[in-house]
Amino acid sequence: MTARSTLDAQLLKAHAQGDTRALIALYTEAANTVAEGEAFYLTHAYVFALECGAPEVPALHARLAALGSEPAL
Amino acid sequence: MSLTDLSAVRQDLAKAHGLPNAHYIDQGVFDEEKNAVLFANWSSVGVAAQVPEPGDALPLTFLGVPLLLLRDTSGVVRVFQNTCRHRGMILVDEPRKIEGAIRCPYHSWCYSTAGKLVSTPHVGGPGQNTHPEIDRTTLGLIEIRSHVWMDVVFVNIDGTAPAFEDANADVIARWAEFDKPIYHGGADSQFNLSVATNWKLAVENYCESYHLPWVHPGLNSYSRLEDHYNIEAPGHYAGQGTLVYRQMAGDDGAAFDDFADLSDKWDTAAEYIALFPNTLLGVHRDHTFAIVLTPEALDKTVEQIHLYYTTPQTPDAARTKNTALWKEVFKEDVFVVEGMQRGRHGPAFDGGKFSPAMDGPTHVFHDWIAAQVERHRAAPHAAE
Repeated sequence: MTARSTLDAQLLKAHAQGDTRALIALYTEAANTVAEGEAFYLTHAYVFALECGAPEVPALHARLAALGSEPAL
Repeated sequence: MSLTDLSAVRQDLAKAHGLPNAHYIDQGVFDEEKNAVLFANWSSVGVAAQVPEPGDALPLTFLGVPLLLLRDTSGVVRVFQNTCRHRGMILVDEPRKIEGAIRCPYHSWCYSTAGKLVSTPHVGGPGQNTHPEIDRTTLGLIEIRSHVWMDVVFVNIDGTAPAFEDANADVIARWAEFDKPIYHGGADSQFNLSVATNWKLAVENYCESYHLPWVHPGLNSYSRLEDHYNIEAPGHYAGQGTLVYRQMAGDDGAAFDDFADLSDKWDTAAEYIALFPNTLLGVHRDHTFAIVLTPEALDKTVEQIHLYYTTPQTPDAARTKNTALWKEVFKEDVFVVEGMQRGRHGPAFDGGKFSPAMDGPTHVFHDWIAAQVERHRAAPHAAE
């Protein structure tokens, strides 16, 4: 598990570099590790996955739908 | 703004005068024509070759309207208003490939390349991406009515024009023999000319052959004035044709392939038609071209020229020579269209007297413009 401060730094770096692939992975990791922010961080991972047509889209959508954050398909 | 008097324009060619000066130099008339002429009809904004692959997106501005020319993931060319349905943010700022969804850079609302709203992050609060008042099915991108013909992307901004195929049935039939696949010549087969003139003067100059021996003396040796004919389709299009087109070849002798199954007429004929309002097209046995006129201001127009061939691959020498030839011809016209623009600041100019023999195509265009403006003025919204 990545420490919160390290994750923050990696996210900032990925945002600065426009590294969408990294953003998907890092926000997914944040969702997995920050209990109170699962839907929030998953949403970010999902949005960046949508943007680049990433293969993670179905799985991320399913998790958000299960949380009631996105409509079920 | 006082309304211009168009009665002299609507006269028969022999008696008519051209459009009043205000149609070239008055901002109020320019704005009136924007709605009456360019938004109410099928105006060109680009070519499909500018978005060759699925996901290719090209932002455009047409008379202030932000547009997004895009080829969706299924290969369909679409034109959207380049504006997010949430806060009106511009969605795509520069040409790029949309890999998945179009994400608004402001609050990250996401749209599919077909325009469907697919995600509204945090719209119901943090981590809650739905809200009862946010109906995604009604909040897709605003799609602008569009049609692709001869690879040119036409849009009808106000959505009121007849279907493209109906509005242009006559010219589509006229050039039916060229209704075959065409291939953009690539980066060396396109160029832009930025011209200090009202867009209509570029149309008018293109329509007529009268000026050819004076402005394009290089054409005289093989393409004399008497080898040309007027093309006049009142209410639709106008232009000119030549009877002595000679097939293009490079210095190495290599030529382009002809369109298949053309009738004998096209062995030596070529035609140049202004498809109203702002598209200039040319067809020859071995290539076509399209000129998209983008009015950037009352007195500023960008001419975007694209050359097409009958095969995906063409001889390099012939292709570059052809581009150079057309560039030379179109650049020779620049001083004329800019000079006519300056000339229209002469307050006593009365729109000009047409040659009954030579200026028929130009009058067809003026009469069409006048008809569009009069129709707009007669509509209930004109008073608003």
